Amino acid sequence: MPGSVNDYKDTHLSGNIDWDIAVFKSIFSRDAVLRTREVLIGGATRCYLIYMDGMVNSASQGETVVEALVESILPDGFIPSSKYIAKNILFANEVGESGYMPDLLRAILYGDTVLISDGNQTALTINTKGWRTRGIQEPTSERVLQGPREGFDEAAMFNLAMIRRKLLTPDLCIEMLRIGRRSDTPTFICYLGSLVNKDTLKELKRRLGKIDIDGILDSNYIAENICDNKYSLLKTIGSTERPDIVAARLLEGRIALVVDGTPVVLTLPYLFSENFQSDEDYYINFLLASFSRMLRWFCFFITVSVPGVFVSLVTHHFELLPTHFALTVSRLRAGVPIASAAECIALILAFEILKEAGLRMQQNLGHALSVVGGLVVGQAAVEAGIISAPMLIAVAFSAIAGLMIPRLEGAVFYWRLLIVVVCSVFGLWGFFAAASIFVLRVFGITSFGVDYTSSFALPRADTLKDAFVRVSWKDMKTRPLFNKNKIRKG
Amino acid sequence: MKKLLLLLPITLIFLLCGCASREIDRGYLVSAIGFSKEKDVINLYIEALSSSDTTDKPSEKVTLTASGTSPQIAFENLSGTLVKPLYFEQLGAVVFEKEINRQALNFLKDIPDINYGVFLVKTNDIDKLFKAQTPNGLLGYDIIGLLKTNGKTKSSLYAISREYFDAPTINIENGRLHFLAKEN
Repeated sequence: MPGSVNDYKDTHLSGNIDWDIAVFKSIFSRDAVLRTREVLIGGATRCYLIYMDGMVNSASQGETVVEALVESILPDGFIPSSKYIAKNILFANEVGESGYMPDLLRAILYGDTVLISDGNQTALTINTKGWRTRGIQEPTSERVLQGPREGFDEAAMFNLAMIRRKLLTPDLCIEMLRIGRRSDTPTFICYLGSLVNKDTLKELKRRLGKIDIDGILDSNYIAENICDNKYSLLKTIGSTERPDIVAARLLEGRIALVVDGTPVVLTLPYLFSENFQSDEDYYINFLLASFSRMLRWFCFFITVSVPGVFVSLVTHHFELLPTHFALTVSRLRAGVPIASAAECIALILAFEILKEAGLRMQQNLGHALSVVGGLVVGQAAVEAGIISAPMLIAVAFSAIAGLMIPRLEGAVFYWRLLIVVVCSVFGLWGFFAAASIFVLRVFGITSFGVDYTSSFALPRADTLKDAFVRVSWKDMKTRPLFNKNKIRKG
Repeated sequence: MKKLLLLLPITLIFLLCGCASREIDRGYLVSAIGFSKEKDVINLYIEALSSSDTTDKPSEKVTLTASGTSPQIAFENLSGTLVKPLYFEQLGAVVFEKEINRQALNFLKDIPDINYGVFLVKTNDIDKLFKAQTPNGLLGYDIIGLLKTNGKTKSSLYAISREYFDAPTINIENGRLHFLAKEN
């Protein structure tokens, strides 16, 4: 049994309408929503409309196709060609012509209506797409107080239109390819022709061409297949649900990958400093944005290091604690039955459980969860002597700091755990060793041939202008280093 | 490879059970250490804080004593009777009776966790000093407070072991620490 439309690449329309309709029916013999409707063109020539119920706009189909066909007047004995029907009869805006079966199957599956007529070896594909979409909403994961509020939805065509609305230039290139043996998912590569790095584009196409997978249900299916290192905790491909962010990335010479069926659009290459950028940074005063960004860098350091450093202080380096603090920690830890490292890891995991539960549960239960989980259980655990208050404070502070950098969420969790384990064995020596390994690792990563840390490549103001701080738009004169067309503004 | 992966959880269990490290609440936090010499016998005094078993009880101050022919032997005699280890990281002051003892200084330098900024003082009656109730409850930190208040902070272990100059003399009367009259 064929599994992909490409399995019919040797099949063409025969020109015998009964034979051709039988072929379509046999292909979709197990599909209950395929509809075929026989119509007489001008009351004489037989034709069939083939479409998927629920995927077409019935009103539009009725007005621009059915009505036009039925009410057309043809000379006696004239058998209209497909071209003639498209040009002289149909009212539809977008009509294509093909006799190649994979093209026709794709059109049907994507909400178009295929019209086959007697005596023609080509059929018409008429744009009657009419499936329901979620509509434009603000992405819940990328909310801003100031700036555009629109977000992508699941229909790639609408998403492309939203990007194009931001970039009214013929320089915006959109290439389409289909990925997934069975899902045959339309995927669009978007870039600005005059800004894109050709080597990066070539590399992206090479990697996309190598994907051999049953289906693509989300852009992450593609991201994991084309990323530079699948074991890397740090993501090397950006993702966003906001058209303004995609437009901004394209203006920097990056490439966007729009996948049908998901609101998440991929952008590449992706740099380490992007993890600390917020969408809102560019819509508010640059001084405020710079402060927020520096705070994010600080919070990254805090969230990764605080639990590990605290464990090393209370297990290896008592001398570094101020005397009164050491006495307090010692007193508050009295009676805790588990080792500091185990206590710390248990608390980190507990926080992750609370966070995961909060994400998956009904929205109106979120507050109850935070009250019960964070306050009641935490307080009870401290009072019962199962955990110590200082450790709870250290882990909670680290967890809250981690919320400042959502793009590094996964990486931060693993690094935090690793540092706690290393610190529990080697103390601060272990911490510095782990920190050094982290820095070396980050500097060794590339994203589609671009150094992950290229924002810090040169100690020059123009390379750091959008890394630790965000300079004024007046001074944002150059694009990122990987772009050969560097001048952003005069 | 699978065998190596099995080592990972075993190592983690070993590390996380606390066998590989110390815990701040599971030992005596030494705040002061004292030495006196009577003929050939060295008396060792240690003032330390011992955490209680529950958080609602305050930490308990303990004064430990032992003797031996050398500071090392005195320390070994003391350690043999303790149920918890001694942590010297928060040591505040070292007290000598009458004069600084070279043997004791060498012994202190051999303790790996000791802070070289710890203050050295002398006293006329070490037994009285360690058994008395000091103003804030902990002799080691009260001595630090007294030295800092009076600007006499040169007598650290680091300085004395390099230059060997004299340390100030501190005594206790009616629960109050004070310098020897001539030093005031």
